[in-house]
Amino acid sequence: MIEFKNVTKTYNSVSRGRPVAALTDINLKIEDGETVFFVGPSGAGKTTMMRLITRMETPTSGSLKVNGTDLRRIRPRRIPEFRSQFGVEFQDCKLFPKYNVYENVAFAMRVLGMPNRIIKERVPRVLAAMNIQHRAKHFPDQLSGGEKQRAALARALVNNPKILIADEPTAGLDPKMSKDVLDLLVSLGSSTKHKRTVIIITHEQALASAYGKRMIRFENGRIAEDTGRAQE
Amino acid sequence: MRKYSLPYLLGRSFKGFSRNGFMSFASVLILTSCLLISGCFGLLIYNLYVNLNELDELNEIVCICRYDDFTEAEHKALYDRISSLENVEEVQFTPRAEALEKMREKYAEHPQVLERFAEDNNPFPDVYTIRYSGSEAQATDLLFTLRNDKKFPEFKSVEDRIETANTLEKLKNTVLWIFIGFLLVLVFISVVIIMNTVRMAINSRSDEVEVMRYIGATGWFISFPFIFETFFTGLISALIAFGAQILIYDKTMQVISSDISVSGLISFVPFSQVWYVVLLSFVGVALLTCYIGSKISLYKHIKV
Ligand SMILES: Nc1ncnc2c1ncn2[C@@H]1O[C@H](COP(=O)(O)OP(=O)(O)O)[C@@H](O)[C@H]1O
Ligand SMILES: [Mg+2]
Repeated sequence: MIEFKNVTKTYNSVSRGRPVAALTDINLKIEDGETVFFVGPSGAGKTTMMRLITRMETPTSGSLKVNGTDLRRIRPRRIPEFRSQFGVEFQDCKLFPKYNVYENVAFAMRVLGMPNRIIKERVPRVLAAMNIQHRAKHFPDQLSGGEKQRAALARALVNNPKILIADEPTAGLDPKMSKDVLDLLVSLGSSTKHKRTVIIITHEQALASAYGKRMIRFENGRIAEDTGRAQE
Repeated sequence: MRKYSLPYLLGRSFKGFSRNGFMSFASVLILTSCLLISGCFGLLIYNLYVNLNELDELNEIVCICRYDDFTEAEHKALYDRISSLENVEEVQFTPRAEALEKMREKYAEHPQVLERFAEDNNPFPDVYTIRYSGSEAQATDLLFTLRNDKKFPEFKSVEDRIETANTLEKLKNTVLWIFIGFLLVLVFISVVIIMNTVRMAINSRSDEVEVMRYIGATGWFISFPFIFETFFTGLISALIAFGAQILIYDKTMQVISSDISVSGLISFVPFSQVWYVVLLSFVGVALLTCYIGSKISLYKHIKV
């Protein structure tokens, strides 16, 4: 469970020379296994939400708990372990240009010190599940936008995360491909095998609303609307 | 506990080193220069020390006889009188003929010099060399006795090295401190260069670092390649500096030993006697510098 209580996040912006309020007084509960869309215009604070949940940033005030861990109290040496329960797909994919698709995905396992034997067995499986196995030996700049997204998604999924977060996975994709990627993400959340929480961040509210899932709309760092837990 | 294979980690470090080509090259250049300057200075000082220590012992008093024609009996009596003085450890009599002989042997291969020391024209006096023990005050007492014309009219002059010994001691200390200060400045420069190189490496790979943090990499896993990259830099610099040091030392020795007027005064420690100290210090200083520089940079620029 992810639980925000009166969370405010202010950045000390070097460029603007004064603190920037990214999020103000956020109260929010996300249950295990929920699929949630974060929507809202650019600059509304959606990425900041993701950075707070993964403890890349700490709240300026308020309390934030993720699966029982109080993120304002967590000891630095426990943070890597904490983060390994997430799978994150980034706005601009952030695939390593010098690695091919296989190595990009394998890297996420190497970071956690997984033995080669398991890497060799699991990476092809995840690539196949993302339907990108035929691109395993290709480098990121040889891939189309949709393929990049799927490769990045494979990397996010390879460690079998409890919480999957995708930040603008449809950025730069045409409507058809956007829909495919969102379908894929939503299906990952509906899998009955793992009770996985999926958070999809997008500024394309129209696309998101088609799924009938919970939707939280951000505006100027505040929650403007929360459709509440979807009826399953 | 997460386990990583060493070849994997080293491979990552090496990739980083080669990717960061220009900056790695620049830091190798600067590190090499710093090591080489310190090496030359250090070896210079070491040779200075060795030469100073090779100077005749400093707790000696040299008594020069007034006349060249004392009889053997007179010498025997004088020797016994000196030996019986307090704090005298050892008395050595050097007849003028022997002193001349030594000189002729030393310059046997240099006829121009030999001319000045012809057999029938001995410029040396008879000399008593006294080695003493005890405090400076006791040494002064002994000197006072020997210089007393009533007690030892046989001596024209009595020379001590107490002053010289003190001066040399001061000189050695001063030079050593200058060296240490110098070394610190050079190490500081190297650390700053390494810090900067690592900072640039971190910046150029900020995406990679960010992704690793998100995935749950430990600080150690993220830092390791950066630290080892600088170790490559350090190791390469140390080896280059060592090679250059051999050449410089050799050349200097050649130049000096080809000049007789200098080579008679200065003795050089052969490089074969010090090479491992030089190599170990270069590698040690380089690695330490790199470790400190990269640690500071990582601490400043990578968050958990
Ligand atoms: N590292 C940062 N330093 C300073 N300001 C930031 C930083 N990250 C985000 N912001 C600011 O916080 C606000 C919210 O940003 P963000 O969470 O990225 O919004 P979104 O993802 O919804 O576009 C914006 O005004 C942005 O400029
Ligand atoms: Mg964003």
